[in-house]
Amino acid sequence: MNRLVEFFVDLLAWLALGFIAGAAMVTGTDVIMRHLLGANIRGVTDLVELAMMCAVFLSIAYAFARRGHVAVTVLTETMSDRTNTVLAFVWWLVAAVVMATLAYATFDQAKMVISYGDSSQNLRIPMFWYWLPVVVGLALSALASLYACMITARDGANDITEGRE
Amino acid sequence: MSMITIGAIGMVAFIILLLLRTPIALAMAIIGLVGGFYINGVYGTMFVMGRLPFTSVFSYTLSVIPLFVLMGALALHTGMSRNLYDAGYALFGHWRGGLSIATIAACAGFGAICGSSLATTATMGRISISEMRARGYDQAFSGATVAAGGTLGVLIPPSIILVLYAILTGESIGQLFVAAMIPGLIAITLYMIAIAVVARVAPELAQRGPRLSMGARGRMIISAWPVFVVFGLVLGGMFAGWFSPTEAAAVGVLGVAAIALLRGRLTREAIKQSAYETASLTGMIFLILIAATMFNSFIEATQITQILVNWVDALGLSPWQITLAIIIFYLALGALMDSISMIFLTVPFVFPIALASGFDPVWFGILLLSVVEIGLITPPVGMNLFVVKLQMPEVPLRKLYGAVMPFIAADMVRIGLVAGFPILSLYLVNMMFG
Repeated sequence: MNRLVEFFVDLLAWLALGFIAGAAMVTGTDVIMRHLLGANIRGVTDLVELAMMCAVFLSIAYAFARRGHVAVTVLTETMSDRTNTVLAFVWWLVAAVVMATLAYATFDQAKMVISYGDSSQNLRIPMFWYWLPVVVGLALSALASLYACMITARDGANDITEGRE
Repeated sequence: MSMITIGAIGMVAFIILLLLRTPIALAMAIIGLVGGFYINGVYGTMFVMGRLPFTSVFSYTLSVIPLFVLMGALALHTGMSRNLYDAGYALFGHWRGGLSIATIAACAGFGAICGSSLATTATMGRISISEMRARGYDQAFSGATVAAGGTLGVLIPPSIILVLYAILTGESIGQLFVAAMIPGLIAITLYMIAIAVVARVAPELAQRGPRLSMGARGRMIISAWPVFVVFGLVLGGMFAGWFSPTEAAAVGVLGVAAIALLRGRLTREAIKQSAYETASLTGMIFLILIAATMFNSFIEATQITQILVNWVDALGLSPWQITLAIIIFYLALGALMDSISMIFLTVPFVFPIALASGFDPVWFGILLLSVVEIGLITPPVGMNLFVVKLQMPEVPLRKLYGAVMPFIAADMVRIGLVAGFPILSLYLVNMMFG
């Protein structure tokens, strides 16, 4: 069970990497074509924006699953490990509620926007495809927060140092 | 209840949440949501919050962030850093404190392709700490050198912090990168001077390395060519007007990947680690971005920002006093909070004050960057010191705090120069952009 969840968590990172690398390749090819051939790839902006929506919201879910969102621990460092674990557990649980609320709110908005039949500027990609990663990513983030709760209950709170600027 | 009271309660609640180790993004989102419910009601807030995650991310300009993050992660995991350190050693290793100076030079070089302080600290720490230990350098001083050098990761363009500032304020990324060049060089020079002074005052802390032959030095310097190529391609292309910042970042990703492939370093493990690191950092940055937008929509509704601007205006402070107050505010905040959160949280408040005071927004961005990065090496949060500490667990943190003081002093001198002489930031901008 745990290995299966870990597989899906890693998959989020790989998919995000795929979308970012795809955006880099499309953009890079466009730059090369523009300077060497004087031609452009049509709708690069639309494609990059779509890739980024997918990459960003998958990454947010990944960061939750890895408990990679930063917290200030100045005060809680003076408290016991048990208190820290309880606090971390509570906040990941609250995070699940907040992300589920946002997923619900964006789902409502997405339905409304899609009903207008809007599409992207150049390639006329339906806006459905831009909203889909938002709703799915936020829903996955809620699930990933619950996973973070589970990990915290098992391993205790850890000070997050990864991924900070 | 008046709006200002609601805003004040929201701010106090936010601080309490932070102190209770709530993830920063979550604390902002909670205040944004609950405050929104109170002011606009559940239906109105759900309507606004339903749009914010989409509207705050859906922007072509923002795609520059994941691309630069990936470029840095690939550079990190495909081993571009080792050659940089060797090049630094070839240039400065035989000086007094030479290994420390080489570390600073290598950090600056890596910062030029990475854009992240923690990545620079972690990477250079792995290489240089063991070298300095082998040459009998003081452990705490070695660690402090790496921690301070790591801050060059955000000072030397491309810098993720500058990109975030540009996005939040609508300033040009290219102009900010150009503006950061001279202050970045000043930072490198001042760090090197700080090391030279320490090595002269206490020679037992940092000794000279052996002098290499000219041929060996030349070979070691040339071995760092990939970094020069990528740096030249990304920034040169952007400044020459060949690419936009997003295109430059994309070209940087492809450039680093191509060089790593040619050198046989684009391994499965390197790609895997790059994927994890990119997803983690991208997810963290964008969640803070979304949460900060939620938080700021609440703050805007309470009109606290405008009240703050009017209040500062009514105080009749001189620009110098305002600058000093802002510097002190960020130094204090930097001791508690990481730089990305700090930028998202404070720029919407502080930028209007800066504009109302007649400050140049590009210069102000560089000043902000300079102050924010000091937080990475100041106690008690100093993240770079924590990263170094992980690599040298036998050295007490308090010793690192002491050893980093000469570098903080150098930073203070730099802030004084950047604040007192805006031309240092604006000279190249005026020259290149008119």
